[in-house]
Amino acid sequence: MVKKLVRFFSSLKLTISLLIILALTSIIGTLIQQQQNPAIYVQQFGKSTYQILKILGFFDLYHSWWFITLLALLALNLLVCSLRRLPRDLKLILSPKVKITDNELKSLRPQEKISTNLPSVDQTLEVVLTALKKGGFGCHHKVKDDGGGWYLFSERGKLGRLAFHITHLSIIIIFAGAIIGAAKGFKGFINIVEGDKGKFITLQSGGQGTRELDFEVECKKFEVIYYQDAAGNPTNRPKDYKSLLAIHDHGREVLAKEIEVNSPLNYHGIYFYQSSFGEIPRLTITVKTRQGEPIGSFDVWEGGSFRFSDQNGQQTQVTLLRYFPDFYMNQNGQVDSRSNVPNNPAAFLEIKPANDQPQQTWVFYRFPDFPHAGQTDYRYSLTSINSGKKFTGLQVVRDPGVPLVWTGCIILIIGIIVLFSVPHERLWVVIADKGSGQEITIVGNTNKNKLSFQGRFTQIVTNLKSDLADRTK
Amino acid sequence: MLGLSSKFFGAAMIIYIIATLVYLTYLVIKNEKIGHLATLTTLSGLIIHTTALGLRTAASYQQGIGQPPFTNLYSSMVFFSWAIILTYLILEFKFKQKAIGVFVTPIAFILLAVTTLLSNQIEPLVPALQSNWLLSHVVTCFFGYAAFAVACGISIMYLVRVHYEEKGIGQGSVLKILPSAELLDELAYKAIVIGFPFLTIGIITGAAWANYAWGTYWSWDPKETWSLITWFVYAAFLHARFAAGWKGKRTAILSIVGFLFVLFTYLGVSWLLPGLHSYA
Repeated sequence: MVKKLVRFFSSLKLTISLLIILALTSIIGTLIQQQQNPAIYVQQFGKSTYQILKILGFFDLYHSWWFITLLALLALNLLVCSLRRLPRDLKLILSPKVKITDNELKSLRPQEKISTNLPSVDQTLEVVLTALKKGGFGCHHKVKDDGGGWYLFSERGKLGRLAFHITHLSIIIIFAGAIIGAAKGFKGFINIVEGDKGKFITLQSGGQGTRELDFEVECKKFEVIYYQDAAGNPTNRPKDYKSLLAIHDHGREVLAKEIEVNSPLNYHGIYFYQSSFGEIPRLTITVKTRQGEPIGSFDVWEGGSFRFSDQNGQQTQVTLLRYFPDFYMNQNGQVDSRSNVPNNPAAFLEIKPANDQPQQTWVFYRFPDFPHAGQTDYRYSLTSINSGKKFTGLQVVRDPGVPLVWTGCIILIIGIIVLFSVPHERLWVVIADKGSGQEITIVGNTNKNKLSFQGRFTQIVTNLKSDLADRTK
Repeated sequence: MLGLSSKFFGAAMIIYIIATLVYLTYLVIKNEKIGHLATLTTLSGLIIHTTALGLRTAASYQQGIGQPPFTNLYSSMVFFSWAIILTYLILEFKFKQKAIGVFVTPIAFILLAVTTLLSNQIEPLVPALQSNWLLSHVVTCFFGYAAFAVACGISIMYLVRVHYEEKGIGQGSVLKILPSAELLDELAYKAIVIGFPFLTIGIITGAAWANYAWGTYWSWDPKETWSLITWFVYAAFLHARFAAGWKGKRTAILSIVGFLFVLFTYLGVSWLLPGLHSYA
């Protein structure tokens, strides 16, 4: 039973099948856009097809249980196959068989028999060794035969025998790195306004919601450089954008670095990549009493707040929680922004009077009379939207598996190159003493490139024959 | 300088089609002198082609873009064509087989012919593409593609030959012209053995670059995925041929299918599927 399992998991048929199945199934994931909003899929495929595709995992195919299973099977296949062959291959390299049996001598190909009538075995041996050396087979072991003859063994490209294992091992290392990254890493983004600090990462993978960093990141300066046209005027194609970032750990600035695309900042294994930029608009909120008497107009950013006081000195604090330039309700009944174009600007405010519970309400630029939710003492309206502060968009990633992945990749490259360019070639020569002259049997074996080995073998045999002929003249 | 480079590409294109004719003549009359002439013609095409690439790179620096121009369809095609000819000449030199030239030089010709329909302008690079990884990534990928193109050409020759052998026809024509089936089979395998490490390094340098630019070495972007699919197909080919001892028709078909996957990875993905590589 165990034997059967081992044979199944180390079989070449399994490898080829898995590679072809992986290739074919991977195609599906490139035809269906992955990890989209369910609503988009329902619209595209219809409800019932959507359900079927969802069960099959086609919307996040590369992370679906069955795709991961296929990859795991491939890893297992490589591992079992390698482990099964390793003892044999190690033995071949570490303790080569110099004295081969008569059966092996008969069955190995290519082979050639040469008879010579040189007076002594030692002379013949010398000629053979020289011919081998000339043919590139330098390293040799020899054993004296009981009958006065010799067993010679010579090989080249031992590493080629191990390349198979090295290559397979490297793939396992890459998988291990990927698993560590998936288990212990995270990926997310943060937008920081120029001059501001931030520490909350909106996660895209490695968790849900936000993640609080143990330190703060400050964007000291942000800059976009645009390409110039032929006349030297700037175009709207960005050539580069860069942020001067500073890390504040326990209130102390510990690191400052200018980052740009292709040049991230690393602090304690957490990398900050320049990924986007933008502007957050400055909104003007106008406050009036219920009777319509103006209190004032206040400029505020998303996330920012302002205060005003009434005649009695009672303060009210207003915070702009969210801003939607193109407000709408999506199919799930959630508020969202259809685009970044201010078609229907809306602001979500939190109003906290000095001695009362905070209340939340919406205000719309296009619908100033839209009634406020709840009971408020004042009327708020969104009266203007102005261009505001620049922010830098940073991709934040921690992936402790990366060093392992690169190690695996480098080993993979070396492994593949050695695997195909270094054949393990072995030659055995048996010199039998026939009393009046000797019989030389020369056989060879290679694990790849049979044609070129055959050529080399023939060359050695030809050289040997002519050397022997020269000696016997 | 850009205009001059285009003229040079045009000259190389014409030389390659002439080379095709010379290779054909060589195959029919089997005259060694004509064989040398075919090689020399191809080589002169390659030299002019190389000069054109140099001029185009110089033009890119002159425009202040300061990167070898590899980032649009035009540049990648002229480079692909160049890599195919170079790979072929190396194989020809190594294996002393000129017959393949008749299938390979027209591929280079067609690629260059297509570029004459495209704009030769050098576009400024978006920031993500301004990286030292660009050169190593593109060069290794296209050498891989080139070796696979050569392998595909050889595999087609193989199937043609075997077809005639099975039908028992063409003794005086096709069978006389084409190298033996066994040799073709071996040569296709050799070309794939050369292409596979290049594709592997191409995928890995791409991953390294993505990690440096975006913090993710692998994001299952369509181009990435298709390059991996291609890698799977050739890995299957190598396992089948190398370890399972598959030979002949089955591996020849796998080699041709593999190159169709290469073409889709190169052209199909950019045109049909959205993703990070939509610019190239």
